[in-house]
Amino acid sequence: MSKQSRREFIKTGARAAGAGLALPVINRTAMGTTIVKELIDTTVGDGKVFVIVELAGGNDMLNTVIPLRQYSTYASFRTRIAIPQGNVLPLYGASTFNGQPTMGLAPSFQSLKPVFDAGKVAVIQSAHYPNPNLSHDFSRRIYYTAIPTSNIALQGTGWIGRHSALYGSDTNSLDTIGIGGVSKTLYASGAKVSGISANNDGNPTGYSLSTASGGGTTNQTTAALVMDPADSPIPYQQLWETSVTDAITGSTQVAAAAGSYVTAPGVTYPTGNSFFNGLKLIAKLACSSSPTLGTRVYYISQGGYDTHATENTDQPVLLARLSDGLKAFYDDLAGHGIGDKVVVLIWSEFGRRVADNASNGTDHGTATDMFVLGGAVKGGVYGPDPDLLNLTSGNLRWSVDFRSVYSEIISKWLGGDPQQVLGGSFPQLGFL
Amino acid sequence: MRRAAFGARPDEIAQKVNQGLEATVDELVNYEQTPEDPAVPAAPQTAQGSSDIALITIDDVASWWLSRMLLTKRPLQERMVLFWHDHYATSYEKVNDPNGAKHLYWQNQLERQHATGNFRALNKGMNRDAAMLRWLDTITSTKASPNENYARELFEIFMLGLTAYENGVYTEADVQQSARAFTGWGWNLLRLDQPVSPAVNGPATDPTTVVPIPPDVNDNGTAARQHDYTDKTVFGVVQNFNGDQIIDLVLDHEPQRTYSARMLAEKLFEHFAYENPEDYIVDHIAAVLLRTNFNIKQTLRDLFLNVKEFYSDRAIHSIVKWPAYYMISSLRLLGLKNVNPRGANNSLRSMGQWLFWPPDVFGWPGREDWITTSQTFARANWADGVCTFRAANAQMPNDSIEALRVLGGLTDTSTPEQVVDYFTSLLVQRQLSSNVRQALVDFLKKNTQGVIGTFSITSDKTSNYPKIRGLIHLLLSRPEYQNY
Repeated sequence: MSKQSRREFIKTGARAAGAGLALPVINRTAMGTTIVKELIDTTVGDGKVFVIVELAGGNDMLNTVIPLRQYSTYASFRTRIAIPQGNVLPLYGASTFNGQPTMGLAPSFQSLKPVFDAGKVAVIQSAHYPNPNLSHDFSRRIYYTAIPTSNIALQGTGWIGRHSALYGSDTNSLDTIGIGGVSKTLYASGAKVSGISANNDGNPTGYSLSTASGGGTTNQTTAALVMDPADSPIPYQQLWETSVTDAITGSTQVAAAAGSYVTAPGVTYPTGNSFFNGLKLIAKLACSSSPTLGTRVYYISQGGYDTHATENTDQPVLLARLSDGLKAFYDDLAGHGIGDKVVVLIWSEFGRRVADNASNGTDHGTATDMFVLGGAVKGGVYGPDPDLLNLTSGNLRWSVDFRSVYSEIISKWLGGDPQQVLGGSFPQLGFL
Repeated sequence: MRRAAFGARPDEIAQKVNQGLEATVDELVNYEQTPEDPAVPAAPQTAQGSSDIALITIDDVASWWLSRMLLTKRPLQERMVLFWHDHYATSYEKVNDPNGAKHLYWQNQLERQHATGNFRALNKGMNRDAAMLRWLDTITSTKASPNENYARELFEIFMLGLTAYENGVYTEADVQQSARAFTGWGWNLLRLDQPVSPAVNGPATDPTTVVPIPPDVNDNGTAARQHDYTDKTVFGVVQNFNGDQIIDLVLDHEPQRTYSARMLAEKLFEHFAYENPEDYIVDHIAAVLLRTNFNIKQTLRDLFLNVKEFYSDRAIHSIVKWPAYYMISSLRLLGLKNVNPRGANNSLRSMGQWLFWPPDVFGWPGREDWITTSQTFARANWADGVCTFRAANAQMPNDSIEALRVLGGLTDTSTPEQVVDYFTSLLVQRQLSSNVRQALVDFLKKNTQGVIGTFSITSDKTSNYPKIRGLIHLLLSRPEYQNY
């Protein structure tokens, strides 16, 4: 069955079997996960946007959100890279102990601190999954798929992809957009995904069909869009056909959207880094009202967090970029009047080892923090503080299943039944 | 030829069929016996034409490598260098110190030297490869605090694979113990960061002369002092291992040895034939690896000669072309060997395969990751640039189209259908569906207003072949062309 027909089968099968009932009535298996199609899509088109920021490489959360209550333990574990206590910023919503905050924010977050202080950033601590795995590839696939079982995780569909297949648009090639590449998070049979790269001005680059070779633009474009009507037995042919078609048909809208954008007054994006360029491109596409692209999810990755060495000099640069980029992005969206319509999830595949190494870095670890940012977010600190006195093989213990965060985003933001997307139910934390 | 080289034109395929399968495979794998094209550049040059290794940039290295791929008469060698560049994925993103380009050039030469050599020797070369030592932090790994990065990826990616971890073939403790065997190994890299003569230090034909490693260093120097000479317990074996002995242990100790062979066997088959091969195929190729002490050349020869699934329908056009393959094979099929590849790595970046900048140590995920909307544009738009006539700087001069016309036996009276069919057989090398073929025929016939008229090579020729250029661009952009 082709991608498209499988998707149709899920949808029409569900509708035909229980027309008129607002209950899930039929189970189908798509790519190893049982999903149930709701009969009525109530969520599509309400203009809510979800942005995922991946901190690739495993961000050292202990040098991102610093344990102040256990500072002396922290400092003794990290004689080479501990952030001086006096440099740590107050963290909005942190618990207190003897009148002092238990956790603080890395000084690199100076620019974003006002957004924290406005109560628009939720910090979810001690997040992870059962039987933590110290492999980058293994662990990030678990976060991409939301399936912490090795075999399935290696082959599975992305959690946003499954959501898209159930609740996203059938026809809009811009339903979800990866900036730069396309993360596996966005893939599933039936999901509509585009990948767009940003240039230094945050404009889409190379995102139209060049036709200088000869024969005329219209004639070339017309011929390029003709596809084999048969289901090809050759691997990936349908995906190629869909991608070529989606690229050409979506490119005009993307260009128009980016062209109509003006940065909000008083906002300046920092320059000189692909992460800034990508955030600006997301803002351009999300802010556009002529045309409205209808994109529900954007995905962007910021790399470099695998700080086995020279973390003390490298990580502050990365976090400052994260902070500066997100601050401009947040202000820009607010200036365009959609600050309450966009929620950003920031995550990394694992935290790092509690003790530093002789390379002024840290090796792979386990429990991690997730951040949710946006005008509609109930800021503060969720999940228990990490306990540096209670480790497993030198690593932090986790206590919040990361799928709780996904679950809340699905039920309260994207719309839809988390059970159907995640294959289980997880207690929600209340940050939305 | 399509899958094991950089593609072959119908006339070349006919010649290979004529000489027989075994002779063709032997010619392919015993490439040392084929005299290299004298136009193949031996070493990178700067844009100004200098060969001074100290001035070489990473763009110079990428341009040099792409030239080699384009011109070589030993296509399997460069295909395997590409394979190893993905396998030992090392990025200039981190190896970007003043010697970074030089070190990545040496690593590329190491991969070329061992392209179809011995997997054991290749891994030992990587143990002391300057770019790798920096990339996975061996340079700062000391006895007091071993850095786990290299040891972890050595097992997980380079030698054993994640399946081995899941099955308990190696453990977290094995990673941490092995890391101790590599302590101090990177210390002498610091020597290379001083100005060096290429005659002394590169290219890395003999890695042992490039980076002396403990415990061979008996001068009680820093490297030796940073190395951990005490016993390590790896896979249950207790011994004072050094890094090379860890490689030997993996390849000599069961069940690690078999897991390593199967990991490599599956990866090779999936690179050349199709994904998710049956177990018996992996077992067969792994057995050849074990029998030949991990000799890549003999293994590939067996794969190309004796594994009948390599020639099965399932293997035909089964694999998504890597962008570098897409670019190089397109130019070779079109006979465009004069194209200057300087700057072409930027096009590969847009297609998702920026050489010397793999996304991370896992290499390029490939497969569906090559297929995004922006990457389909990147392929099509690169092809458009190649096909566009430029009087001053023609990438595809009229002469080259004329040569293809003669090769295909097309005459002034050839029909548009014959023209489409010929270029389809040259490039796509499989049948297009009838409606797609018709759309291309109509494209040739349409006038500038989109009204279907007539097409003749004669009239197209008088205006620099715009229709044939457009047709070639369309074929290179089509879904049917993107797999090998």
